[in-house]
Amino acid sequence: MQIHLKLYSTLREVLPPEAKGQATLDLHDGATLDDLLAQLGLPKRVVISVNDEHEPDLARRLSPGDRVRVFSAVGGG
Amino acid sequence: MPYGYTGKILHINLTDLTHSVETPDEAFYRKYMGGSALAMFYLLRDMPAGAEPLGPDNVLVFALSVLTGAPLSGQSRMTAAAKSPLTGAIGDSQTGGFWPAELKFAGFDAIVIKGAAREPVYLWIKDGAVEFRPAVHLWGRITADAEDAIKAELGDDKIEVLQVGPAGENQVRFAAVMNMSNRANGRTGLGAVMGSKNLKAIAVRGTSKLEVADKKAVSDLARWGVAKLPSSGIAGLGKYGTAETTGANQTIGSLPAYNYNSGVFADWEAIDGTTMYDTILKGAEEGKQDRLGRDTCYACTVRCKRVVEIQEGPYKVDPRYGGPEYETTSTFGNYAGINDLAAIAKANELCNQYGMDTISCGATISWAYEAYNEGKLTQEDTGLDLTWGNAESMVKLTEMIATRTGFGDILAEGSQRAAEEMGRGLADYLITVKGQELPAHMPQVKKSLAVIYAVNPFGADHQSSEHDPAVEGDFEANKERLAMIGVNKELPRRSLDAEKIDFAVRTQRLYSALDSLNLCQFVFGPAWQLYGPDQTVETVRAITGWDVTIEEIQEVGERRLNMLRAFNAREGLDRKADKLPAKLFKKALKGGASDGFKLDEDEFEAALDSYYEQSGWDAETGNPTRPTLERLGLDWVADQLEL
Repeated sequence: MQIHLKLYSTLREVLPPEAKGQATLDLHDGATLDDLLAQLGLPKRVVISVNDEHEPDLARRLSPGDRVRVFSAVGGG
Repeated sequence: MPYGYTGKILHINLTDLTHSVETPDEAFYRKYMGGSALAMFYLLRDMPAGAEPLGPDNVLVFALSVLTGAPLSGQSRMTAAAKSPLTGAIGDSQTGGFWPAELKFAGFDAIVIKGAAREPVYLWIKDGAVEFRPAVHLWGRITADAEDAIKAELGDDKIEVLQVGPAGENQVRFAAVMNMSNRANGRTGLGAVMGSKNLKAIAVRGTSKLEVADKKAVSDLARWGVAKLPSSGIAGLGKYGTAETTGANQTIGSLPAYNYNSGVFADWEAIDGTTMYDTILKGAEEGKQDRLGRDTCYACTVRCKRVVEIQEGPYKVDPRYGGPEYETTSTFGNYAGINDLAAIAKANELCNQYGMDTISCGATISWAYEAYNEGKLTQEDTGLDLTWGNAESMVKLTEMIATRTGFGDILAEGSQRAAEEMGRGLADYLITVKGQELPAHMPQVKKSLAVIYAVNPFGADHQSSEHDPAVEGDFEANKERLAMIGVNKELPRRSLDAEKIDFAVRTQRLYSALDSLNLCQFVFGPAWQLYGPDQTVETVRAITGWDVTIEEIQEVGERRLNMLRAFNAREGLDRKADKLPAKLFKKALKGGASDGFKLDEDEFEAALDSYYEQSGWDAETGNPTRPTLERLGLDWVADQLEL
């Protein structure tokens, strides 16, 4: 299945610079957010939204066409 | 010769233009360590209770710590403290930059300023020599112009200049003290205090070197930090600035929008740190923003400061004035529904030119926007269209506040005074604690902040404790460091029970110690920061040679909190001042992950009880008790309070 991914700040550096953090990825059916992070080599300490809704559970199974955003988790600022 | 500090406190009397030097002993420095705690010693000792904040009896302290000037990231910071003209309570604010280290090299650990000059003056401090110089010709000039003029007349480009801009001269109640024309002691209106004393600037230059106890240990800590930074929790913060947190706050519903009526802002991506990096940082067009668009503080490897340059369009921005932090993109952006990053950068530039706190300025403007959109203010009152999202009016209002022009004059008093003066139910829209406007992290979501915002002695502050996610969803990643200060258990999301207050109290003490050691709270801290509590201890040991423990560091933080609260008690404040804006309890947030969230009065009051109890304070008054003050070696403060 395909999902649409957008990464922010340093996280986007796992993708080529010209991608500007955006990619459409092929994942196996039933893939979880945890699988997605592992496939890209991203840390687990992140904040994620799926279809613009906060998803704190990394065991969440993704569905075809999902839009996933991943942010660094930082307090303060 | 002590390690880490000069042993010299400079006392300035502006009324008769004299100065003297005090040389406290080592026990004094070890007890207070510097920064905010050291400043509080002088404020409590030397300021009469009930002093008029904008009168000559107010005492203004600029304090370094026993670490300032060492070759290590996150140490070149300075605390400014005085009675706040915004809150009437203690005022306290930290800045970074190069001025702090330069003052240490010039021979002083702190400057204690009393009285008021008859005409504008500035101080020139070079290698221990102190000179009062006329500043009539500098009065009214924006920061970079005044800085250039001072450097030119003193004939040295390496001078660092701390100053007030025209907003401080005009006694805008949230005026900042500026250095480098882009770093601010922003909060609590200390620029107005400096302006009220007719003190335009403090220029410093020093050529002495700081002696540290263990050069190798300091060097090892510095090298570890450089190596660790790319994989640390602050790598993104360094490269993309504090506004990199915009998206994460949006996602969890903690991005205050429309004057705190919502925790989400649909256009957040237009104003976030990644967008800023790609578009308006200096050098972004040629892909050179890492080199040209980032700035730093003395000896800091993180380089989180933004340098924005906009040469085209309605909002041109001079890189000299830096660029907006997350707080600034929020208060001038989502707070008023504004999605124009160039306009936000312009408002930031104006704040740095005139010397104003971007949080209180932006949040005061968003208060006016809400009142306008609710029909309680009209264009007749404001002279401007304040429809949500109107960027042009926001930029105009920012300058009108700095110059106290038109409707800007009443807003320059801060939103709470403006609401009180205008009546009409405008207080319903306030987002203030003790008269200071809320920063951009929402207590409805990060609930320990409900208590910390309420009890914090200088008004709502987001840099006074670790935020809830560190002990909630992110606990696994932070547990080793949190355990060093006695936090050992993951807590449920949005809890506000005694265990959450224990987390808040322990991290508040560490943050308070960091504000006394004047360490940057992105570089040092209890969780995701570059260095943890163990390395904070190691840093103090390596620089001073003192055999400190984390318990001693935590006690410095607790001591400082007790001194701040004691100052407020002396001014007649008590638990009744520890109140949050009514709308946080009455009005549920709209939209996103925090849809429907509001605070509960009973839960909040119980949490306050728990906070006072865990702090060793009187639950009825919320004030320090004699046994607690004596335990902290503050018998003399207990005497002042007649406890």
